[in-house]
Amino acid sequence: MIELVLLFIVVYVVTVVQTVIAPAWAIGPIGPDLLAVTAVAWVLCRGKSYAVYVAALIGLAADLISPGLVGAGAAAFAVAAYLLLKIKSRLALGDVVSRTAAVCFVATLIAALTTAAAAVSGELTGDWSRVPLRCLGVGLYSAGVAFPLFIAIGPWRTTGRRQLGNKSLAAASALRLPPSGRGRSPKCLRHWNI
Amino acid sequence: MFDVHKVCGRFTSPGGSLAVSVMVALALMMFPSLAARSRLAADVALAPGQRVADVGRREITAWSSKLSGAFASTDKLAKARDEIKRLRLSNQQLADVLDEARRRATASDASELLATKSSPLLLAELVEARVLGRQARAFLAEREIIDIGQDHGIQQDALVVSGSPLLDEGRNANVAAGDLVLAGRHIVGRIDQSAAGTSTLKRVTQPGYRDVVLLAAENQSPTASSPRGILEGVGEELCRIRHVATTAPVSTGDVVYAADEGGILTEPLIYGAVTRVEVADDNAHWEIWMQPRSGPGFPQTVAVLRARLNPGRLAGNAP
Repeated sequence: MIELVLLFIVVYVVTVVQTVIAPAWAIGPIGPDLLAVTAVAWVLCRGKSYAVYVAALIGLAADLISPGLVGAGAAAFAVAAYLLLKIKSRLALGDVVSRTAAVCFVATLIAALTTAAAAVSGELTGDWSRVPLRCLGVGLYSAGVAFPLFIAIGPWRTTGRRQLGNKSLAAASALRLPPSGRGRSPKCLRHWNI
Repeated sequence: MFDVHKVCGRFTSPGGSLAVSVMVALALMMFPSLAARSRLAADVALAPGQRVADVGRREITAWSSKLSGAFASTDKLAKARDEIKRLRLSNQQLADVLDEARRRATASDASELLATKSSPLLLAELVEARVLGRQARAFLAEREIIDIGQDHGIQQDALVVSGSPLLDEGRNANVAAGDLVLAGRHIVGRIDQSAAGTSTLKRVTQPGYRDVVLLAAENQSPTASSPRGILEGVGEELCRIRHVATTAPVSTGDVVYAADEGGILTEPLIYGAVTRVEVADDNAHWEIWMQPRSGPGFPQTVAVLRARLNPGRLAGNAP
Protein backbone atom coordinates (compact mmCIF):
# COMPACT_ATOMS: atom_id res chain seq x y z
CA MET A 1 0.00 0.00 0.00
CA ILE A 2 2.84 2.35 0.91
CA GLU A 3 4.46 1.49 -2.39
CA LEU A 4 1.32 2.41 -4.29
CA VAL A 5 0.98 5.75 -2.48
CA LEU A 6 4.65 6.47 -3.13
CA LEU A 7 4.19 5.49 -6.77
CA PHE A 8 1.18 7.83 -7.11
CA ILE A 9 3.11 10.77 -5.63
CA VAL A 10 6.15 10.13 -7.82
CA VAL A 11 4.08 9.79 -10.98
CA TYR A 12 2.13 12.96 -10.14
CA VAL A 13 5.29 15.00 -9.56
CA VAL A 14 7.00 13.62 -12.67
CA THR A 15 3.89 14.32 -14.76
CA VAL A 16 3.83 17.91 -13.54
CA VAL A 17 7.53 18.33 -14.30
CA GLN A 18 7.03 16.71 -17.72
CA THR A 19 4.28 19.21 -18.60
CA VAL A 20 5.76 22.40 -17.07
CA ILE A 21 9.54 22.19 -17.06
CA ALA A 22 10.55 19.53 -19.61
CA PRO A 23 9.31 21.60 -22.62
CA ALA A 24 11.89 24.24 -21.67
CA TRP A 25 14.62 21.59 -21.91
CA ALA A 26 13.58 20.42 -25.39
CA ILE A 27 16.10 20.73 -28.21
CA GLY A 28 13.87 21.21 -31.24
CA PRO A 29 11.40 18.30 -31.39
CA ILE A 30 13.52 16.18 -29.02
CA GLY A 31 12.92 16.28 -25.27
CA PRO A 32 13.38 13.95 -22.34
CA ASP A 33 10.70 11.36 -21.51
CA LEU A 34 10.71 11.56 -17.72
CA LEU A 35 7.79 9.14 -17.38
CA ALA A 36 9.79 6.51 -19.27
CA VAL A 37 12.69 7.09 -16.85
CA THR A 38 10.25 6.60 -13.95
CA ALA A 39 8.87 3.39 -15.45
CA VAL A 40 12.35 1.96 -16.00
CA ALA A 41 13.41 2.87 -12.47
CA TRP A 42 10.29 1.20 -11.08
CA VAL A 43 10.68 -1.98 -13.14
CA LEU A 44 14.36 -2.31 -12.24
CA CYS A 45 13.78 -1.44 -8.59
CA ARG A 46 10.57 -3.36 -7.97
CA GLY A 47 10.84 -6.02 -10.64
CA LYS A 48 7.77 -7.96 -9.61
CA SER A 49 5.18 -9.41 -11.87
CA TYR A 50 2.79 -6.45 -11.58
CA ALA A 51 5.56 -4.12 -12.79
CA VAL A 52 3.99 -4.38 -16.27
CA TYR A 53 0.68 -3.05 -14.89
CA VAL A 54 2.51 -0.20 -13.17
CA ALA A 55 4.32 0.64 -16.40
CA ALA A 56 1.00 0.59 -18.26
CA LEU A 57 -0.50 3.01 -15.72
CA ILE A 58 2.50 5.34 -16.11
CA GLY A 59 1.97 5.07 -19.86
CA LEU A 60 -1.68 5.97 -19.36
CA ALA A 61 -0.56 9.10 -17.51
CA ALA A 62 1.68 9.90 -20.47
CA ASP A 63 -1.32 9.45 -22.77
CA LEU A 64 -3.45 11.83 -20.72
CA ILE A 65 -0.93 14.70 -20.89
CA SER A 66 -0.24 14.37 -24.60
CA PRO A 67 -2.40 14.64 -27.70
CA GLY A 68 -3.30 11.54 -29.69
CA LEU A 69 -4.81 8.20 -28.93
CA VAL A 70 -5.37 7.38 -25.28
CA GLY A 71 -4.12 3.84 -24.73
CA ALA A 72 -1.25 3.82 -27.20
CA GLY A 73 1.21 5.02 -24.59
CA ALA A 74 -0.12 2.51 -22.05
CA ALA A 75 0.37 -0.34 -24.49
CA ALA A 76 3.83 0.91 -25.46
CA PHE A 77 4.92 1.21 -21.83
CA ALA A 78 3.56 -2.28 -21.09
CA VAL A 79 5.45 -3.80 -24.01
CA ALA A 80 8.64 -1.98 -23.04
CA ALA A 81 8.32 -3.10 -19.40
CA TYR A 82 7.75 -6.69 -20.49
CA LEU A 83 10.86 -6.64 -22.68
CA LEU A 84 12.84 -5.00 -19.90
CA LEU A 85 11.79 -7.72 -17.47
CA LYS A 86 12.90 -10.33 -19.99
CA ILE A 87 16.26 -8.57 -20.39
CA LYS A 88 16.61 -8.20 -16.65
CA SER A 89 16.08 -11.94 -16.14
CA ARG A 90 19.16 -12.56 -18.33
CA LEU A 91 21.37 -9.58 -17.50
CA ALA A 92 22.17 -8.14 -14.08
CA LEU A 93 21.48 -4.44 -14.91
CA GLY A 94 22.99 -3.64 -11.51
CA ASP A 95 25.27 -0.73 -12.38
CA VAL A 96 24.44 2.81 -13.36
CA VAL A 97 25.66 2.49 -16.94
CA SER A 98 23.53 -0.55 -17.77
CA ARG A 99 20.50 1.09 -16.16
CA THR A 100 21.10 4.21 -18.22
CA ALA A 101 21.38 2.06 -21.32
CA ALA A 102 18.06 0.43 -20.34
CA VAL A 103 16.47 3.88 -20.13
CA CYS A 104 17.79 4.72 -23.59
CA PHE A 105 16.38 1.49 -25.01
CA VAL A 106 12.98 1.82 -23.33
CA ALA A 107 12.50 5.50 -24.16
CA THR A 108 13.46 4.89 -27.79
CA LEU A 109 11.11 1.91 -27.99
CA ILE A 110 8.21 3.83 -26.42
CA ALA A 111 8.71 6.76 -28.78
CA ALA A 112 8.81 4.39 -31.75
CA LEU A 113 5.69 2.45 -30.67
CA THR A 114 3.60 5.58 -29.94
CA THR A 115 4.69 7.08 -33.26
CA ALA A 116 3.73 3.85 -35.03
CA ALA A 117 0.35 3.82 -33.26
CA ALA A 118 -0.28 7.42 -34.30
CA ALA A 119 0.65 6.56 -37.87
CA VAL A 120 -1.65 3.54 -37.92
CA SER A 121 -4.55 5.57 -36.56
CA GLY A 122 -3.97 8.22 -39.24
CA GLU A 123 -3.06 11.00 -36.81
CA LEU A 124 0.51 11.27 -38.10
CA THR A 125 1.35 11.85 -41.75
CA GLY A 126 4.30 13.38 -43.56
CA ASP A 127 8.05 12.80 -43.73
CA TRP A 128 9.07 9.55 -41.99
CA SER A 129 12.76 9.81 -42.64
CA ARG A 130 13.49 11.72 -39.45
CA VAL A 131 11.28 9.57 -37.17
CA PRO A 132 13.98 6.98 -36.26
CA LEU A 133 16.45 9.73 -35.47
CA ARG A 134 13.87 11.57 -33.38
CA CYS A 135 13.03 8.40 -31.43
CA LEU A 136 16.73 7.73 -30.84
CA GLY A 137 17.20 11.35 -29.80
CA VAL A 138 14.41 11.02 -27.22
CA GLY A 139 16.05 7.85 -25.90
CA LEU A 140 19.49 9.40 -25.65
CA TYR A 141 18.14 12.58 -24.05
CA SER A 142 16.18 10.57 -21.49
CA ALA A 143 19.28 8.49 -20.74
CA GLY A 144 21.26 11.72 -20.30
CA VAL A 145 18.71 12.93 -17.75
CA ALA A 146 18.56 9.55 -16.03
CA PHE A 147 22.32 9.13 -15.65
CA PRO A 148 22.84 11.83 -12.97
CA LEU A 149 19.61 10.79 -11.31
CA PHE A 150 20.80 7.20 -11.02
CA ILE A 151 24.15 8.41 -9.65
CA ALA A 152 22.34 10.62 -7.12
CA ILE A 153 19.99 7.83 -6.04
CA GLY A 154 22.88 5.40 -5.76
CA PRO A 155 22.65 1.63 -5.77
CA TRP A 156 19.21 0.31 -4.89
CA ARG A 157 18.21 -3.19 -3.85
CA THR A 158 16.68 -5.08 -6.73
CA THR A 159 14.17 -7.84 -6.30
CA GLY A 160 14.24 -11.10 -8.20
CA ARG A 161 17.61 -12.78 -8.78
CA ARG A 162 20.21 -11.82 -6.19
CA GLN A 163 23.94 -12.05 -6.22
CA LEU A 164 25.46 -14.22 -3.50
CA GLY A 165 27.69 -12.31 -1.11
CA ASN A 166 31.09 -13.43 0.17
CA LYS A 167 29.55 -14.76 3.39
CA SER A 168 27.02 -16.88 1.51
CA LEU A 169 29.69 -18.18 -0.85
CA ALA A 170 31.83 -19.19 2.12
CA ALA A 171 28.88 -20.97 3.71
CA ALA A 172 28.07 -22.73 0.45
CA SER A 173 31.67 -23.79 0.10
CA ALA A 174 31.66 -25.19 3.64
CA LEU A 175 28.54 -27.22 2.86
CA ARG A 176 30.05 -28.23 -0.54
CA LEU A 177 27.18 -26.65 -2.32
CA PRO A 178 27.70 -25.05 -5.73
CA PRO A 179 27.58 -21.22 -5.56
CA SER A 180 24.88 -21.12 -8.25
CA GLY A 181 22.37 -22.35 -5.71
CA ARG A 182 21.49 -25.54 -7.54
CA GLY A 183 20.86 -28.44 -5.19
CA ARG A 184 20.15 -26.21 -2.20
CA SER A 185 17.20 -27.25 -0.15
CA PRO A 186 14.44 -24.75 0.73
CA LYS A 187 15.57 -25.04 4.33
CA CYS A 188 19.06 -23.89 3.43
CA LEU A 189 17.62 -21.01 1.44
CA ARG A 190 15.51 -19.93 4.42
CA HIS A 191 18.54 -20.28 6.70
CA TRP A 192 20.62 -17.98 4.51
CA ASN A 193 17.68 -15.64 4.02
CA ILE A 194 18.19 -15.74 0.26
CA MET B 1 -11.93 -27.67 -10.75
CA PHE B 2 -11.50 -23.92 -11.09
CA ASP B 3 -8.18 -23.02 -9.43
CA VAL B 4 -8.23 -19.36 -8.29
CA HIS B 5 -4.50 -19.24 -7.51
CA LYS B 6 -3.62 -20.61 -10.92
CA VAL B 7 -5.78 -18.03 -12.68
CA CYS B 8 -4.37 -15.19 -10.55
CA GLY B 9 -0.87 -16.43 -11.25
CA ARG B 10 -1.53 -16.20 -14.98
CA PHE B 11 -2.72 -12.61 -14.66
CA THR B 12 0.27 -11.57 -12.53
CA SER B 13 2.89 -13.27 -14.70
CA PRO B 14 4.75 -10.90 -17.08
CA GLY B 15 3.10 -12.37 -20.16
CA GLY B 16 -0.38 -12.33 -18.65
CA SER B 17 -0.03 -8.78 -17.34
CA LEU B 18 1.21 -7.66 -20.76
CA ALA B 19 -1.79 -9.22 -22.43
CA VAL B 20 -4.21 -7.64 -19.96
CA SER B 21 -2.53 -4.22 -20.27
CA VAL B 22 -2.58 -4.28 -24.06
CA MET B 23 -6.23 -5.34 -24.10
CA VAL B 24 -7.22 -2.53 -21.74
CA ALA B 25 -5.21 -0.07 -23.85
CA LEU B 26 -6.97 -1.22 -26.99
CA ALA B 27 -10.30 -0.88 -25.24
CA LEU B 28 -9.43 2.71 -24.30
CA MET B 29 -8.63 3.39 -27.94
CA MET B 30 -12.08 2.20 -28.87
CA PHE B 31 -13.86 4.72 -26.67
CA PRO B 32 -12.70 8.26 -27.54
CA SER B 33 -15.39 9.85 -25.33
CA LEU B 34 -14.06 8.05 -22.28
CA ALA B 35 -10.54 9.19 -23.20
CA ALA B 36 -11.69 12.80 -23.47
CA ARG B 37 -13.29 12.68 -20.02
CA SER B 38 -10.15 11.10 -18.60
CA ARG B 39 -8.01 13.85 -20.12
CA LEU B 40 -10.27 16.50 -18.60
CA ALA B 41 -10.03 14.88 -15.18
CA ALA B 42 -6.26 14.61 -15.50
CA ASP B 43 -6.01 18.30 -16.41
CA VAL B 44 -8.04 19.26 -13.33
CA ALA B 45 -5.93 17.02 -11.09
CA LEU B 46 -2.63 18.27 -12.47
CA ALA B 47 -3.58 21.98 -12.40
CA PRO B 48 -2.49 22.71 -8.78
CA GLY B 49 0.85 21.01 -9.21
CA GLN B 50 1.40 22.75 -12.52
CA ARG B 51 0.67 26.15 -10.94
CA VAL B 52 3.18 25.48 -8.16
CA ALA B 53 5.79 24.23 -10.62
CA ASP B 54 5.22 27.22 -12.88
CA VAL B 55 5.66 29.68 -9.99
CA GLY B 56 8.80 27.86 -8.89
CA ARG B 57 10.19 27.87 -12.43
CA ARG B 58 9.56 31.62 -12.76
CA GLU B 59 11.14 32.35 -9.39
CA ILE B 60 14.23 30.32 -10.25
CA THR B 61 14.50 31.99 -13.65
CA ALA B 62 14.16 35.47 -12.12
CA TRP B 63 16.65 34.66 -9.38
CA SER B 64 19.22 33.25 -11.80
CA SER B 65 18.83 36.22 -14.14
CA LYS B 66 19.25 38.60 -11.18
CA LEU B 67 22.33 36.72 -10.05
CA SER B 68 23.91 36.70 -13.50
CA GLY B 69 23.01 40.38 -13.91
CA ALA B 70 24.62 41.26 -10.60
CA PHE B 71 27.80 39.42 -11.50
CA ALA B 72 27.86 41.04 -14.93
CA SER B 73 27.31 44.58 -13.57
CA THR B 74 30.00 44.19 -10.90
CA ASP B 75 32.43 42.90 -13.46
CA LYS B 76 31.57 45.74 -15.85
CA LEU B 77 31.99 48.34 -13.10
CA ALA B 78 35.41 47.03 -12.13
CA LYS B 79 36.51 46.98 -15.75
CA ALA B 80 35.22 50.53 -16.28
CA ARG B 81 37.11 51.78 -13.22
CA ASP B 82 40.30 50.14 -14.41
CA GLU B 83 39.80 51.67 -17.82
CA ILE B 84 39.23 55.15 -16.32
CA LYS B 85 42.38 54.85 -14.23
CA ARG B 86 44.40 53.67 -17.21
CA LEU B 87 43.09 56.46 -19.43
CA ARG B 88 43.84 59.09 -16.78
CA LEU B 89 47.41 57.90 -16.50
CA SER B 90 47.74 57.80 -20.27
CA ASN B 91 46.35 61.35 -20.56
CA GLN B 92 48.77 62.63 -17.95
CA GLN B 93 51.71 60.98 -19.65
CA LEU B 94 50.70 62.47 -22.99
CA ALA B 95 50.30 65.89 -21.36
CA ASP B 96 53.78 65.55 -19.87
CA VAL B 97 55.25 64.69 -23.25
CA LEU B 98 53.47 67.68 -24.79
CA ASP B 99 54.68 70.05 -22.05
CA GLU B 100 58.24 68.82 -22.40
CA ALA B 101 58.14 69.30 -26.16
CA ARG B 102 56.74 72.84 -25.74
CA ARG B 103 59.34 73.69 -23.11
CA ARG B 104 62.17 72.50 -25.35
CA ALA B 105 60.78 74.45 -28.27
CA THR B 106 60.54 77.61 -26.15
CA ALA B 107 64.01 77.15 -24.71
CA SER B 108 65.55 76.64 -28.13
CA ASP B 109 63.79 79.76 -29.43
CA ALA B 110 64.96 81.77 -26.45
CA SER B 111 68.55 80.54 -26.81
CA GLU B 112 68.52 81.61 -30.42
CA LEU B 113 67.28 85.08 -29.46
CA LEU B 114 69.65 85.66 -26.50
CA ALA B 115 73.18 86.14 -27.56
CA THR B 116 74.70 86.25 -24.07
CA LYS B 117 73.89 84.29 -20.93
CA SER B 118 73.68 86.27 -17.69
CA SER B 119 75.46 85.15 -14.54
CA PRO B 120 73.24 83.94 -11.65
CA LEU B 121 72.13 86.38 -8.98
CA LEU B 122 72.39 83.80 -6.18
CA LEU B 123 75.23 81.44 -5.55
CA ALA B 124 75.17 78.28 -3.49
CA GLU B 125 77.57 78.04 -0.62
CA LEU B 126 78.28 74.88 1.32
CA VAL B 127 79.45 75.06 4.91
CA GLU B 128 81.00 71.84 6.11
CA ALA B 129 79.95 70.83 9.62
CA ARG B 130 80.71 67.88 11.86
CA VAL B 131 78.06 66.03 13.72
CA LEU B 132 78.81 66.08 17.44
CA GLY B 133 78.46 62.91 19.40
CA ARG B 134 77.08 62.54 22.91
CA GLN B 135 80.49 62.89 24.57
CA ALA B 136 81.25 66.06 22.64
CA ARG B 137 77.86 67.47 23.65
CA ALA B 138 78.54 66.73 27.29
CA PHE B 139 81.93 68.42 27.05
CA LEU B 140 80.38 71.52 25.50
CA ALA B 141 77.57 71.54 28.03
CA GLU B 142 80.03 71.46 30.90
CA ARG B 143 81.64 74.60 29.56
CA GLU B 144 78.30 76.19 28.83
CA ILE B 145 79.18 76.57 25.18
CA ILE B 146 75.89 75.15 23.94
CA ASP B 147 73.48 78.05 23.98
CA ILE B 148 70.91 76.73 21.57
CA GLY B 149 67.36 77.04 22.71
CA GLN B 150 68.05 79.04 25.79
CA ASP B 151 65.74 81.73 24.48
CA HIS B 152 63.00 79.09 24.35
CA GLY B 153 63.73 77.68 27.80
CA ILE B 154 65.54 74.54 26.64
CA GLN B 155 68.12 73.29 29.14
CA GLN B 156 71.58 72.26 28.00
CA ASP B 157 71.24 68.87 29.59
CA ALA B 158 68.22 68.23 27.50
CA LEU B 159 70.19 68.98 24.36
CA VAL B 160 72.96 66.63 25.47
CA VAL B 161 70.60 63.69 25.69
CA SER B 162 68.42 64.82 22.80
CA GLY B 163 68.15 62.58 19.76
CA SER B 164 68.49 65.55 17.41
CA PRO B 165 71.93 65.73 15.79
CA LEU B 166 74.07 68.68 16.86
CA LEU B 167 76.38 70.37 14.33
CA ASP B 168 79.54 72.24 15.21
CA GLU B 169 78.73 75.22 13.02
CA GLY B 170 76.27 77.99 13.85
CA ARG B 171 75.63 81.64 13.36
CA ASN B 172 79.40 82.32 13.24
CA ALA B 173 79.46 80.52 9.89
CA ASN B 174 76.23 82.18 8.74
CA VAL B 175 74.28 78.96 9.35
CA ALA B 176 70.63 79.86 9.90
CA ALA B 177 67.48 78.00 10.76
CA GLY B 178 65.88 76.51 7.67
CA ASP B 179 69.09 75.86 5.76
CA LEU B 180 69.23 72.49 4.06
CA VAL B 181 71.71 69.94 5.37
CA LEU B 182 73.21 67.65 2.76
CA ALA B 183 75.18 64.46 2.55
CA GLY B 184 76.50 64.57 -0.97
CA ARG B 185 73.51 65.31 -3.22
CA HIS B 186 71.08 63.91 -0.70
CA ILE B 187 69.12 65.98 1.76
CA VAL B 188 69.26 64.70 5.34
CA GLY B 189 67.30 67.53 6.99
CA ARG B 190 67.17 71.23 7.82
CA ILE B 191 68.77 73.42 10.48
CA ASP B 192 66.24 73.63 13.26
CA GLN B 193 67.91 76.08 15.64
CA SER B 194 71.14 77.96 15.23
CA ALA B 195 73.36 79.37 17.97
CA ALA B 196 76.73 81.10 17.89
CA GLY B 197 78.86 78.01 17.36
CA THR B 198 76.43 75.13 17.13
CA SER B 199 73.13 74.28 15.52
CA THR B 200 70.59 71.52 15.72
CA LEU B 201 69.22 69.56 12.84
CA LYS B 202 65.67 68.41 12.11
CA ARG B 203 65.92 65.22 10.11
CA VAL B 204 63.68 64.41 7.13
CA THR B 205 61.94 61.64 9.02
CA GLN B 206 61.16 63.69 12.15
CA PRO B 207 57.59 64.82 12.76
CA GLY B 208 57.07 68.40 11.68
CA TYR B 209 59.46 68.26 8.77
CA ARG B 210 57.72 69.48 5.60
CA ASP B 211 58.92 70.42 2.15
CA VAL B 212 57.64 70.69 -1.39
CA VAL B 213 58.96 67.90 -3.59
CA LEU B 214 58.92 66.83 -7.23
CA LEU B 215 58.67 63.24 -8.40
CA ALA B 216 60.34 61.91 -11.53
CA ALA B 217 61.18 58.56 -13.00
CA GLU B 218 64.56 57.10 -12.09
CA ASN B 219 66.31 58.00 -15.34
CA GLN B 220 64.62 61.38 -15.86
CA SER B 221 65.25 64.82 -14.42
CA PRO B 222 62.35 66.64 -12.76
CA THR B 223 60.57 69.25 -14.86
CA ALA B 224 58.04 71.94 -14.11
CA SER B 225 55.27 69.51 -15.05
CA SER B 226 56.53 66.70 -12.83
CA PRO B 227 54.12 65.55 -10.09
CA ARG B 228 54.40 67.89 -7.12
CA GLY B 229 53.55 67.04 -3.51
CA ILE B 230 54.26 67.78 0.13
CA LEU B 231 56.85 65.67 1.94
CA GLU B 232 56.13 65.07 5.63
CA GLY B 233 58.18 63.39 8.32
CA VAL B 234 56.00 61.16 10.50
CA GLY B 235 58.57 59.89 12.98
CA GLU B 236 59.07 56.57 11.20
CA GLU B 237 61.63 55.18 8.84
CA LEU B 238 59.57 56.22 5.81
CA CYS B 239 58.31 59.71 4.95
CA ARG B 240 54.85 60.40 3.54
CA ILE B 241 54.20 62.44 0.40
CA ARG B 242 50.73 63.96 0.16
CA HIS B 243 48.64 65.98 -2.26
CA VAL B 244 49.76 64.19 -5.41
CA ALA B 245 46.72 63.69 -7.63
CA THR B 246 45.93 60.18 -8.83
CA THR B 247 46.02 61.53 -12.36
CA ALA B 248 49.80 61.99 -11.95
CA PRO B 249 51.97 59.07 -13.10
CA VAL B 250 53.70 57.78 -9.98
CA SER B 251 55.25 54.40 -9.40
CA THR B 252 57.63 52.76 -6.97
CA GLY B 253 61.24 53.56 -7.70
CA ASP B 254 60.52 57.16 -8.72
CA VAL B 255 63.05 59.64 -7.34
CA VAL B 256 61.89 62.44 -5.01
CA TYR B 257 63.57 65.80 -5.59
CA ALA B 258 63.46 69.03 -3.61
CA ALA B 259 61.33 71.53 -5.50
CA ASP B 260 62.26 74.89 -4.02
CA GLU B 261 65.97 75.02 -4.74
CA GLY B 262 65.62 76.27 -8.31
CA GLY B 263 67.81 79.26 -9.12
CA ILE B 264 70.48 78.33 -6.57
CA LEU B 265 71.68 74.93 -7.76
CA THR B 266 72.06 73.66 -11.29
CA GLU B 267 71.38 70.05 -10.28
CA PRO B 268 68.31 69.09 -8.24
CA LEU B 269 68.77 67.73 -4.72
CA ILE B 270 67.44 64.30 -3.89
CA TYR B 271 65.34 63.32 -0.91
CA GLY B 272 64.89 59.64 -1.61
CA ALA B 273 62.93 57.09 -3.63
CA VAL B 274 59.28 56.07 -3.66
CA THR B 275 58.83 52.66 -2.04
CA ARG B 276 55.07 52.36 -1.77
CA VAL B 277 52.17 53.85 -3.75
CA GLU B 278 48.59 53.30 -2.69
CA VAL B 279 45.25 54.82 -3.45
CA ALA B 280 42.04 54.40 -1.53
CA ASP B 281 38.66 54.12 -3.25
CA ASP B 282 37.13 57.47 -4.17
CA ASN B 283 40.33 59.27 -3.11
CA ALA B 284 41.70 61.84 -5.54
CA HIS B 285 45.27 61.68 -4.17
CA TRP B 286 47.94 59.02 -4.01
CA GLU B 287 49.21 57.80 -0.68
CA ILE B 288 52.98 57.75 -1.32
CA TRP B 289 55.73 56.56 1.03
CA MET B 290 59.39 57.46 0.49
CA GLN B 291 62.60 55.91 1.74
CA PRO B 292 65.18 58.66 2.45
CA ARG B 293 68.46 58.14 0.62
CA SER B 294 70.38 59.23 3.70
CA GLY B 295 69.36 55.97 5.31
CA PRO B 296 68.75 55.18 8.97
CA GLY B 297 72.34 56.00 10.02
CA PHE B 298 73.81 59.45 10.07
CA PRO B 299 77.05 60.69 8.42
CA GLN B 300 79.94 62.06 10.45
CA THR B 301 80.24 65.15 8.28
CA VAL B 302 77.48 67.07 6.53
CA ALA B 303 77.26 70.23 4.45
CA VAL B 304 74.90 73.09 5.17
CA LEU B 305 73.59 74.72 2.04
CA ARG B 306 73.08 78.46 2.14
CA ALA B 307 72.54 81.01 -0.58
CA ARG B 308 74.50 84.21 -0.98
CA LEU B 309 74.34 87.05 -3.43
CA ASN B 310 76.58 86.93 -6.47
CA PRO B 311 79.22 89.69 -5.88
CA GLY B 312 79.77 89.99 -9.62
CA ARG B 313 76.10 90.81 -10.20
CA LEU B 314 76.15 93.28 -7.33
CA ALA B 315 79.21 95.00 -8.77
CA GLY B 316 77.58 95.05 -12.22
CA ASN B 317 74.38 96.60 -10.85
CA ALA B 318 76.25 99.27 -8.89
CA PRO B 319 76.03 102.71 -10.42
